[in-house]
Amino acid sequence: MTGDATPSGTPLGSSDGRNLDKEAPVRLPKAGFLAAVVALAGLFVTSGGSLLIPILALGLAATYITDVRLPVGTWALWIIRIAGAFLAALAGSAVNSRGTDLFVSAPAIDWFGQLCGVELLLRCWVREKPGTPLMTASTMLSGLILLCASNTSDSSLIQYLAPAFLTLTILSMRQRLSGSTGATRRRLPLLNAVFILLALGIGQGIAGTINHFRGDLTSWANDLIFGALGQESTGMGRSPSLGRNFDLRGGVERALRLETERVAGAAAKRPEPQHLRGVTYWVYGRGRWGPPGSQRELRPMSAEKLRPGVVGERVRVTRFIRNNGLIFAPLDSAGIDPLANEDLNWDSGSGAPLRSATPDPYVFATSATHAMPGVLASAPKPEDLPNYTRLPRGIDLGVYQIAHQIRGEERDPERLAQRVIAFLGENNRYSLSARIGEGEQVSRFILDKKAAHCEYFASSAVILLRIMKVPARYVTGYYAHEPGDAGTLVVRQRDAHAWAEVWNGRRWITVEATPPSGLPDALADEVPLHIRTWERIQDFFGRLPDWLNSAEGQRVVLIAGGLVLVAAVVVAWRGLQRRRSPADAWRYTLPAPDLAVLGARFDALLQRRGVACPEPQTWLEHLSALDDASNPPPDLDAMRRFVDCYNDARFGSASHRMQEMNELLAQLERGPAAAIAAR
Amino acid sequence: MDFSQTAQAIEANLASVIRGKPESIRLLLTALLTGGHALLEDVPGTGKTTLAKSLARSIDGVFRRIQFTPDLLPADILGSSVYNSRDGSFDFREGPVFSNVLLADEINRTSPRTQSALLEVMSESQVSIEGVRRELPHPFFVVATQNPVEFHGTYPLPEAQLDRFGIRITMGYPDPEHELEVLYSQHEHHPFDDLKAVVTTRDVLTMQAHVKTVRVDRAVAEYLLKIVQSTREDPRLRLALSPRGSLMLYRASQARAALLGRDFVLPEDIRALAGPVLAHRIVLDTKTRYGGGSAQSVIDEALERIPPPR
Repeated sequence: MTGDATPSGTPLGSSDGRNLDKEAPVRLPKAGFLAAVVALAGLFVTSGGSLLIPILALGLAATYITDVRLPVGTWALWIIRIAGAFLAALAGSAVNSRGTDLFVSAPAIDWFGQLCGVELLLRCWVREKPGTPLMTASTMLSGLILLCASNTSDSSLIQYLAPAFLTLTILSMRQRLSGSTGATRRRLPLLNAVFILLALGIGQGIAGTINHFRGDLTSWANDLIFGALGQESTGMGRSPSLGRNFDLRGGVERALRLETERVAGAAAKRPEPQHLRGVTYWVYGRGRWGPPGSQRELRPMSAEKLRPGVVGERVRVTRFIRNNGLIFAPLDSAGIDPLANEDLNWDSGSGAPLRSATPDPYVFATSATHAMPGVLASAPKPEDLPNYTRLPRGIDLGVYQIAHQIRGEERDPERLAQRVIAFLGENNRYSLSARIGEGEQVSRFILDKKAAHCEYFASSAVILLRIMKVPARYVTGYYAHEPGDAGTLVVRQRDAHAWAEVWNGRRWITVEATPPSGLPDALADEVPLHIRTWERIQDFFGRLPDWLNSAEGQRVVLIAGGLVLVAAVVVAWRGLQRRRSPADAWRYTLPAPDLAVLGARFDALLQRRGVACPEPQTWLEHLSALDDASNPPPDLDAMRRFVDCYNDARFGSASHRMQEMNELLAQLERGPAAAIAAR
Repeated sequence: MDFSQTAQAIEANLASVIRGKPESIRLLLTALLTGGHALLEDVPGTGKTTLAKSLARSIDGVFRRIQFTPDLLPADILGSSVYNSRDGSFDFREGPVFSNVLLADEINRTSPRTQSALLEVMSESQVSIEGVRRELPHPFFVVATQNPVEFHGTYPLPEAQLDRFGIRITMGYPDPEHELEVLYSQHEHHPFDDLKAVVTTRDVLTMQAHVKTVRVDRAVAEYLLKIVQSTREDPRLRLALSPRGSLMLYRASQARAALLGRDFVLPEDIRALAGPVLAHRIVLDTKTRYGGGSAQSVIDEALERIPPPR
């Protein structure tokens, strides 16, 4: 549909017959205007009351009062756009400081909505030719504004605004389509009523359906996006795979970026190399780790409960992996702040996995002291503890014998873990390609002294420790070690790793059974330059929104915006000067003083009569236009005679007609009757 | 000879053939009295050639017509030297430009090379061939016609050539009332056949001299220059107005004032003639051209923006 604006739409409050000789400017249909106002009202509420929005609405309304329009392509349009963007940013920062925004990204979206409003205003204020597709553009812009207004958790507002907007938009299209045939015009009220009911019904129906099934829809989407968590498991294969949470195909793709949040005035400090745990497993059987579906119970956990007494440094983690919302954090994290995500789903029994709804950045706080275990390393429930010493069937008796030999008389879990690490380091070699052969995988690995990767070392450590009655679990995650730019650690898919965790009676501790030659940092090759360059570009743009939201960023934006505004004003001023000079800046050679006085009196006379001569017209042209009008002044002939005399004196050489002009003007000033009588 | 009576006689003569187009007739007469040349531009069948021929017949002078075709050569227009076998010399045979009124019909159908042969002719009223300068008769008035809609087999006039046309006249379709008159007037024979000369070439020269005596106040000339200057500062233009354009508008406004019985020029004369005299001399940039802009709209905007002197 190509709806056009109404070139002939009668302005609100204007009388018919005015400006007959001028083309009426393009205006939005009234329903289209109201639809735009509805969208702006929504944005006003959700943006927290930006003052620019009522100004925009008033500006739109003013188009119905005046016929004045800006010329197309003038620099003034860009000044208004820049000023609008600046004012919208200012309004946004004022609203933010009150802390009323509902979503983190809301200011940017509100800002964009206001930009759309500014553009809509300009579209309505530009002098377009009749027939230009103003309606299409305005509908699109109004729709964008409403879309930005919909960025709110308060769905009840949009539930009413959206049907109203839809109704008015359809009505505005009907206004354009309601061309003109008599039959259509007669049916219009009925059709409008049907359209209103239809739009209200559709809007309410959609909103009601979504609201009613919101819970089901959310869980369905979660299952679809994050996969069936209950079935998760990881099997030990020839090459390391670590399950569906990791993608080991590419190798150098970035998974995470860690950076210590800077304290004012301090230099950026790089986080220490560390194990970032993602998922823990406790059930082993036939070469696979996993909890059976019924045992993994992910429950929503308020973010508040993950931040008990956060101490130490805060490390911000940016996630580049989009497969799910898995949160990777070190075991000794004092707390986790999911930032944008209000709630996390987690398995409280194992402290992992932690999942957020979206892969937004999060922060974990490293513990300054080991006295406080942190939420992830805290004690399991007593009823869960037996899970961590449960041994699978099929483990070779030789493995039991080896475990008893390693154990000897030692009972301390940490020292036992050290002994296991030493045993595996002495007897097994690291290899990315495991060839274990037939039989139970862990048993064969230990007994045949095979070469294999981290999954085998970690699994063997867990099994050996469990034989020694030490609670242990299998953990997958990343080993973060690669220094990135200024104070950051970069974690790539090739850093995916498996290790073990042991319960020492007070807290869980990390047990790295893989020999140093098999750790990701020993295996890592240099990352190609073009990849690092591309990552730097990504980082720059990734950090930009945060920087813009920071106090420093807003200060710089304000200064830059101010400079741009000043520059725009200077450029505009110079443009104006250039335009005026020399062509417009010239002043015409003035008429003789007595003639100038007569001219001014005649101008004043026309003004008093309510028929002032518009600027680009000459008096003769103006009088001709008055003659063609429906109600010309009765003493038009006298006026014309005066102008003839004046022109003769001004542009010819008939200065001797001054007396005649004085008399004519005096008659005109006495009123139409006197002028007609004199004639 | 009375200027007004003579002018009215020519106008009446032309109006008896071309019905309902007093503005076009007056513009053509204005072009004649300025000593410039006229370009009649419109779709076929609107009376361009008839108007030009009628003017030529109204003047008791030499009238020649060139039908511009793609194979026309400069020598076909200007003339050439022919070998004389009797005395072994070369005699110059004058081309059709040696006339008082030259009708260049469908001028855009010939190649730019041939079109360019008219450059010297139109600006200096002379022909230079084989190192010899030959003066053209006075008055010398070129009336060219072209169809702006057709593109196949045509060559757009170069800017230098366009600049030499004083006034561009667009005829437009007649309104139904006048078209009816056209139909009945040609019921038995064409009124053109009854047309008689009403002025001599000497009369025309006298009228041209009279036009130059019309007063142009400084304020009016300043208004004219403001309009011209505005085109030179307009970023949408690739080619703005030349001083030749200013001069032509100056002279044309004098002619219009004289035709309307005034001995001084009014700002109205400038406003009325700005489009026909100036619009064909400016060239829009590509963006403006494809954005729907036109040379006429640029001139109209300048007239809208620049207030005339009062």
